[in-house]
Amino acid sequence: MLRKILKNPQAVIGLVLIVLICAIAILAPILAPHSPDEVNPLMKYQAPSANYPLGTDQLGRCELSRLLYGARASLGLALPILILLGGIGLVLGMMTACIGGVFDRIMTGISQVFIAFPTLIIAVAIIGVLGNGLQNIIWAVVISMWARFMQLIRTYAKTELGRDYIVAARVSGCGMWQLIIHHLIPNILPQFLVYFSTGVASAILTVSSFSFLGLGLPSGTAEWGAMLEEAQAALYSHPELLIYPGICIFIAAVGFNLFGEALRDILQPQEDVL
Amino acid sequence: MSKKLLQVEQLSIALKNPHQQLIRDINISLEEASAAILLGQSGSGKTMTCRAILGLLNRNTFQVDGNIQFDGVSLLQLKEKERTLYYGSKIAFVPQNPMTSLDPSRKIGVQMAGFLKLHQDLKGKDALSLYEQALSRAGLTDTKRILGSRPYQLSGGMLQRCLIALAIAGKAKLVIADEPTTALDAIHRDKAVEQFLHLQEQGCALLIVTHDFDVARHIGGHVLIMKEGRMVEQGRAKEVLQNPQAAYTRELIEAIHLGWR
Amino acid sequence: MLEVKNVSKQYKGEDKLLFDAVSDVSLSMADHRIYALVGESGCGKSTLSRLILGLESPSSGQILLDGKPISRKRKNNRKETAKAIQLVLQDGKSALDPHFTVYQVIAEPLRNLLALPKDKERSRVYELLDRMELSKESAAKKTGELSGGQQKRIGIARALAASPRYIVFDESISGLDVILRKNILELLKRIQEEEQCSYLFITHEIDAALYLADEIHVMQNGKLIESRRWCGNLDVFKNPYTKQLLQASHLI
Repeated sequence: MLRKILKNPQAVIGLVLIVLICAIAILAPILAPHSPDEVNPLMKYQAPSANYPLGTDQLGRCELSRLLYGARASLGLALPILILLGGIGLVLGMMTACIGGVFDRIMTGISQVFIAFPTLIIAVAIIGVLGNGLQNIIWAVVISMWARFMQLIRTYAKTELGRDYIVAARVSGCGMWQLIIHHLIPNILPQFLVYFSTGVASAILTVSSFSFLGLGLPSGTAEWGAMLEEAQAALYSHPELLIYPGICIFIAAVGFNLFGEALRDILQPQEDVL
Repeated sequence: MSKKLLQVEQLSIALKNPHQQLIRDINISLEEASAAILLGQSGSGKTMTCRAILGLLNRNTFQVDGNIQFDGVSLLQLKEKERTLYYGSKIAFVPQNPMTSLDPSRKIGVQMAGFLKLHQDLKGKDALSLYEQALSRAGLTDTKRILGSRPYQLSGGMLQRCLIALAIAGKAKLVIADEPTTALDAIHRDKAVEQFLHLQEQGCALLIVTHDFDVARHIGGHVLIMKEGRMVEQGRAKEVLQNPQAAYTRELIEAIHLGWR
Repeated sequence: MLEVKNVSKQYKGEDKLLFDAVSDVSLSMADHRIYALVGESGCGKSTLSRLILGLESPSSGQILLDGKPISRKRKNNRKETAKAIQLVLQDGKSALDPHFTVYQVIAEPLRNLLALPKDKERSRVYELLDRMELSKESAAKKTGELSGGQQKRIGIARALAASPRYIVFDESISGLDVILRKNILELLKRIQEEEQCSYLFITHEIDAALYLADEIHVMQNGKLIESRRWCGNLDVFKNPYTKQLLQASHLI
């Protein structure tokens, strides 16, 4: 499968962007010329220079450093969110598909209630209840999106469960967990990764939306959405302060989306040419 | 002497990338109102040959050489616009699985009338009644029920008969059928073959693709035994099946007869 | 002894009415014999096979293995049933997990049902591959890399792995090329003689049934309409439907 990915231009572009963003997030302390929070009122709105490659913002903080650290904030939230969502989705989705019956009906009912609301609304409501803070953002996004993940896994699992090889595995003595671990998960994993990838893009956007709305992160944190919010005031005088974080969000989301969608195309069963 | 309706000369088909020769030098000669049977196991190339005649091969993917003449026209050289003149009207196709070839959401009467209107200058009502007449000529009695049903409400065998009726209504001169009996049980198989023979009586030529020797025996006509893209043996059905010349044909015929303890 | 006693199975149809897929069927399967179940599609033979395998429960009646009803309720009971009764499906390809290697496919019942030590497991897998006339190298291949005929054989090897007493073949030779069909049938006959197990061979192809079986059962519309010991004499079949089937296959 790795070969197929490398042959697909869209997948390669997406993968490169993803690696880029991850590298920046990991290496931010090494790459950044200054601390992202170092305020210097005398140096505000500086043009790009040797010392400040992208200039400074309204509080004299190094723009480049803030952008680099912003990658940490975005990915640092988006990835734990997706891991939690993936875990909950897999376990609950598999269980509802395999156990069926009353359990399935109850879980489906509950998830349908959650799906009925737009994710941002639920997340904002949860933040409202829990208050600000990193952990609360993670929980808010997870609670708003878990139902979609569960439904997706459940659908995939149900499709696989109808297949002959599952019947054969049951007759070969497989119990429910053996079916899930040895057969269902390996066969569903590729499609699941697609959703995971586009889910990261979604999470990045959601987190940025939060900080743009002033929710979640402490004010002043170097995070792209927050930077967008703060730069609004300088829209006409210093539009670049809006453009930079905007591009960063764009690249991150695009990278994961491109990769995810290319993965979906790669995994489509090939049409029988002959 | 009957005119040659379909002439396939030196048909060769290869996959372009990676290069793989699929069909080599196939020759088929079919006269009006006669029957030819492409007989072979899976992978023999019979379906591919059929698709070439139907103009369904993507020229970007496949290299198609040779000549396919139908009623004096070269089918391989047909332009997009000219396709309607032949396919769907003079040349009809009954696919292996009729259920998946029809629109599941529309009623049979509406769909079939729609097809007829593509080729003949008819109003909706007239097309529908023309089709209904064809259904009766195909030997079906509760035509109203069939016209009002959707494909999934009818059995595979019944849908096949609907497509045969479409060929009749469309005044087809050649009907190509791909594995028409594979999805049917033994008892229905004979009835299905009768349908095709009935078509032949009405002046239609048949090109049947199958792996079933019983079907070949029942329909008769000219039989071409295919193996791995080549023609191994051909001749009148009765002769080939009773006195096979090629070793492969003999091997196949022996394998059919299982015998018992 | 595997006994099916007055078994019926009902389903809700599209019109929400109950219909009988299987209606009061009784038959018994002794050890070391081949039984064929012949019928056209929709006659209920596949449903009956699922009941015998314990994949579904009958609406009424019982299925007894050595006098005890087979039940899916308890885990141990399921394993006992699986050890005794195995299955070979129709479609060779879809019966195999596309992510598994050949080795994993055949080893799966060994691991689930027998818990053999690794070396015994390995030798059993290679022994089965050998009997299926497949090379040792094919063990490492993924199931999708094999031909249709090879996939069929792997399915048979898997069914044989835990040495079951009964094997259910559900339309296992449907859609096979003529030459492959004959090869597989000859293979099945040979294996039954070697393993001394019993087969329930379900098919709509009556000639294959007559080739393999010692006893023929004919099903129509969910009911068992004729059951005969088969010794080579076609006159033993009296039921007009059976005769119709024989005629359609050009046997009489």
